[in-house]
Amino acid sequence: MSDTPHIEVKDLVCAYGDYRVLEDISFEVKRGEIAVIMGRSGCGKSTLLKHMIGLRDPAEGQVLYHGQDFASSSSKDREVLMQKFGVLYQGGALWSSMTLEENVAFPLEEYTNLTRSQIHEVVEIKLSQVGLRGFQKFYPSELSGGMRKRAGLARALALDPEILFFDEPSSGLDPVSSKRLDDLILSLRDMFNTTVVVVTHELDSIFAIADMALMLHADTKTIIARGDPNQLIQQSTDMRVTEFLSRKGGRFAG
Amino acid sequence: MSQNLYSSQVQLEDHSDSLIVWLTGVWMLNKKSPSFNKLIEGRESFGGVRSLVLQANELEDWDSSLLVFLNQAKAWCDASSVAFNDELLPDGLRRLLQQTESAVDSRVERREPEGHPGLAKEVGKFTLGFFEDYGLCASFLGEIILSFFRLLVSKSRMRWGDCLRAMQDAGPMAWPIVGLICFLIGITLAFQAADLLEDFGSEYYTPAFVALAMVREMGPIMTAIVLAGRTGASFASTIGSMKVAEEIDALRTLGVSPIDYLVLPRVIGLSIMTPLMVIYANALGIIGGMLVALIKLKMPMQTYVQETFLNIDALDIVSGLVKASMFGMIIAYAGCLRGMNCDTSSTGVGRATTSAVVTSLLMIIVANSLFAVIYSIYNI
Repeated sequence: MSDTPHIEVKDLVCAYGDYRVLEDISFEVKRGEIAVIMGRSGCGKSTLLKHMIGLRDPAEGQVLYHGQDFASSSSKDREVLMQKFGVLYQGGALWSSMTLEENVAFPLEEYTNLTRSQIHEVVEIKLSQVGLRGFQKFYPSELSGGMRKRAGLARALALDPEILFFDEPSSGLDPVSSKRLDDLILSLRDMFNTTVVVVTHELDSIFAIADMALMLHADTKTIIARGDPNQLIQQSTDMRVTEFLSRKGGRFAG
Repeated sequence: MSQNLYSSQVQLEDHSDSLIVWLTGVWMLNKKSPSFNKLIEGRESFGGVRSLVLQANELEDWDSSLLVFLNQAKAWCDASSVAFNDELLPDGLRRLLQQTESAVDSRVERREPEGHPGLAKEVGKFTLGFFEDYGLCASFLGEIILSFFRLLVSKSRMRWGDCLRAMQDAGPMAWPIVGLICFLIGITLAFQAADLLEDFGSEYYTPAFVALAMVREMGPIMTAIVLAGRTGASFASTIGSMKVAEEIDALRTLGVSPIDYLVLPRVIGLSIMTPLMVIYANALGIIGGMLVALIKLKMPMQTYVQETFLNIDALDIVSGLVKASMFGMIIAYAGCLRGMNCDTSSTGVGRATTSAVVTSLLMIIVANSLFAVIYSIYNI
């Protein structure tokens, strides 16, 4: 394995028009590492994720995958890179006109040469992995929020991606399902050496899965802390970091 | 005995009581991978085989394509009462295999099996669905009437601001399209009438024909059709999206009737605005007819206006406006009905919108026929 970081974000500025949400964002994620982007609501976590997965182009700076700049790549190169991504959106983002089987099969039909029966089997495996075996013929509207989220994960896993992005994976899940999802993230990393980027503010998840955590802050618009969250809570001298990680601070404190 | 099939990926070694499967090389979804079922297919039976042993010493890179193969192998073992021995597989692969063996949720089993239900069942379902829909329409109408009575006794939470917004949406915002369509309809009517009446030397009846057709039928109908496609569809999609986002539940839990808050302002707004739009539509239709008469029949403008007002009276105009008011109510009713009963998914909103337009068009045509009968009976 080369020393090139799997994901490298260099001097990234994220902006909506003239309004700069994040500035001077730089970090690296190694292959097989689980990076958590954390911070309070409105600090720009999801915006950073959108820039990383190519839904928005950087105002300044670069996002590199294996040293290849994502934004300046040709559309064909971007497509090849994006096939290596799996993204789990906050609400699952399943296509409501399709059954779960069709949802999970869609990326396989688009990007592989598998036969119909092979696709059927891969779909069954993916749904089993997330505990939804047998739900192939269900439509998203027939499932609970947590099940929709798990089905979204099955779709994200369909192409065995090298990099998995999770946007608030624990929101809307009960503690047991949330713990199972954390275990699944860890086992995917262990088994496939998948690089994982998680946007969350769920402390339990952060401490359970993060190899490296980045904390964003809305006031500075930058990363105010980075490192192993278990060490950050012990060693950080920044009150904003320790308050966040220890759930302290007044009600709606600024 | 050993048989070399897909040399880069799998080899079978058939011993007396065990079948050894050697997995080697790279297994990737985007490359062709062997199928266990095909491997076994056409081979002589493995009568003496008691166990299937998987060996993966030379396995390089792999993904879900290998899991598909292993699942097929496991299914074959289960069906043939052969022991499935995966102890020599890498730990990660075994864990994944275990994950895929999870039990099927009980909710799946409670579900009706898929398949074609048969003609009789389909007809039954359709009939029940029709009566269910009829009941739904009736109860929704009842709720609107109750809400209207609440408004009369000042117990409704309807906001007049919402009513004005609905009126603006169906009125000024729809002026260009309604105006253009009715202007062109006026032109078309005048051309047809002029051609036909010229043969009998009665072309001077063209203004009367255009005016009567516009104020009694075409003005109200065309305006209603445009508003059903524009405003009714917008009501259904807005309310449907609110339902998907649980905004309607939020109203209910606040103790606010969604009928008072969302439906009644739209019904009242459209019942007032549609007749006003019809007056405007009639005027433009008559102007369109006048244009044809001026150019084609060389009829003076003053004559056209005089002929128009000689041949229509207040009753003609009012009869059209009464219909228009009813059509407005129908459009708002159908739009809100379908929006409020929308499925909670994005396709549900699409279906609700389509259904709103179809329902309102159907009801408008039926209502128009009823009006024709009633007007005929009472000589209106």
